[in-house]
Amino acid sequence: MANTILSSGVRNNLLTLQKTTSEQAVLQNRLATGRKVNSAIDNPVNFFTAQSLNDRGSQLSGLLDGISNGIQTIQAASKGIDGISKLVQSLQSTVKQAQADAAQNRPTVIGTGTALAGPAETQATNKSLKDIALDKRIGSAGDTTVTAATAGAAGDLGIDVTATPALNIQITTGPVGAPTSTTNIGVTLTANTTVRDVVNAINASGVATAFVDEKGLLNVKGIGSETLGVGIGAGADAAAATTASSTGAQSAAFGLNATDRTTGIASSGVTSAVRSNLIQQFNDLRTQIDQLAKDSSFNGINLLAGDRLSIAFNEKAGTNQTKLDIQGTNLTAENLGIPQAINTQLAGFFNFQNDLDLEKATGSLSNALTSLRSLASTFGSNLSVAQTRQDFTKEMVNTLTTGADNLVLADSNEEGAKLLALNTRQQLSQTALSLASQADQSVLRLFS
Amino acid sequence: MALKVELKPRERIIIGQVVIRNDEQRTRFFIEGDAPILREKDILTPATADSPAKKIYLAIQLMYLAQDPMYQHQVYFELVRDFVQAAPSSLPHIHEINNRILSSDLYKALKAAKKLIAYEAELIENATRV
Repeated sequence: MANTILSSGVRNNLLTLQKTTSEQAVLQNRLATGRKVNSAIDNPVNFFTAQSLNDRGSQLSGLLDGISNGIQTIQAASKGIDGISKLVQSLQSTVKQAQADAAQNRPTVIGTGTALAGPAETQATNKSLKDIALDKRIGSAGDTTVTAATAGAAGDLGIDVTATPALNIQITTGPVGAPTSTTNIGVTLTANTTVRDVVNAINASGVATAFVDEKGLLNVKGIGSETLGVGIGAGADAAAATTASSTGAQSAAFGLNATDRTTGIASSGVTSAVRSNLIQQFNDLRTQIDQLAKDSSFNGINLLAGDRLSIAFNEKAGTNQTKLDIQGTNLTAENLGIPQAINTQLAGFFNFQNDLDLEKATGSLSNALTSLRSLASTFGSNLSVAQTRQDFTKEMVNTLTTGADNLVLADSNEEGAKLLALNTRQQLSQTALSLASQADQSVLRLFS
Repeated sequence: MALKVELKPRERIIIGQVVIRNDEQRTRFFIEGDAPILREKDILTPATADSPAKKIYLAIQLMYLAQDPMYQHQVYFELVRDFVQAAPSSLPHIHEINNRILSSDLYKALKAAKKLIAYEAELIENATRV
């Protein structure tokens, strides 16, 4: 069969028709998928780049799930800390309520020997026993006899202020054999030193309160409920006076017994019902701290139970991985330094009947609040790091997915033109202004 | 390891928060420790960042100087979004920059941004030639 000869005009028309048909097929395919290139044959480089970028986008989306879980874990822990802080504040008010009810059991050393002043002196001076006692001198130079007060003289307790010019009052709290605290209050004696000076010195020490009662007897009262020891001694110097006071050598001169130091005076043991009731409340709140800490987990990770949270920000492994590690702490009432409350004196517990222990409790609770606040701020800054990372990664995924879709439409001539247009548009844009102002705040301002 | 730097006469360099300007002779010195370091030729200012890609470079440069990859990343992403919309074929470059930032490797991100500037110049040249 002879070849059909086609004129060039017909041939051209035919070619155009064939091309149009194939283009139509491509066009239809593109219309169906919404993409200009969707097979490797169309534009292999762009196709594979777009595909790999799309894959990367989905990898990052996977990371985003992890970041978002991490954020919720930190938020759960932060909420836990908020709740625990409120419980600690309730504990503080419980302690305050206990403090408002006066302690019934402070040990008091009361002069049982001779009163510092007697009825004969009241007649002679026309003053009350209390005033005579307070005004009495401790002693005079070279004289160890007790002198009674008269209308013209204050009288003295008979301590030689030249031979033994150092006076020491030793006050112990806790068992006298092994006291929890020993305080030495030194007073330098002169011929003018009075009982009032000694009383003031004891009061100024803050470990006990002293006063002279209406019977003219010296009283020393502990500020807590532990056994109180009080000894008074005089010596040539402070060291000798301290030694003398540890056996109560001069206690008798002040109307006290030597045993007030060597045996001590125990607490009356009387308990306040109001305080006893508050113990239960305190311990209940304390238990709630532990429970709240246990309930502060998300997705099985509890930063308040010492768990470690690791948020990966990229999918790499080893040293190339960027991640945020947050080490939790084991948050319990015990670890916060809040012991249980009880009604008696026992190491490692708060004795609610003892004012000193309540004082300690107040200190421990405010320390606990400080630790909680610093923990909250650590978690807070980690949270903001994770949240910014989350934003960044989200933006990155958006850029990738929309960019990969457009990539297949790429036309380098068109792109160049569009970039020129963008440049003009950006000249006066808000973004450019904000970029410039940031630069002005940085070291770059030195370059303009 | 110390970084060796050689400055030409009157050349400037940013080290940390200060600018150092060389005197009239060549100078060679070593830098130890961790601070952002930028040579004069690598520095863009708002005045010299006069194209979309250069603006992106400037934004990364600010992150680098602040030593904080998250510094003002809203502005950065606005620039990036505009750029990718105008020139989708730049995406691989943009992606490399993003990856470097995400890995907190801001110096490498700057290097990648330089490639983007070169690529932008190529595209614009295409457009002006046609």
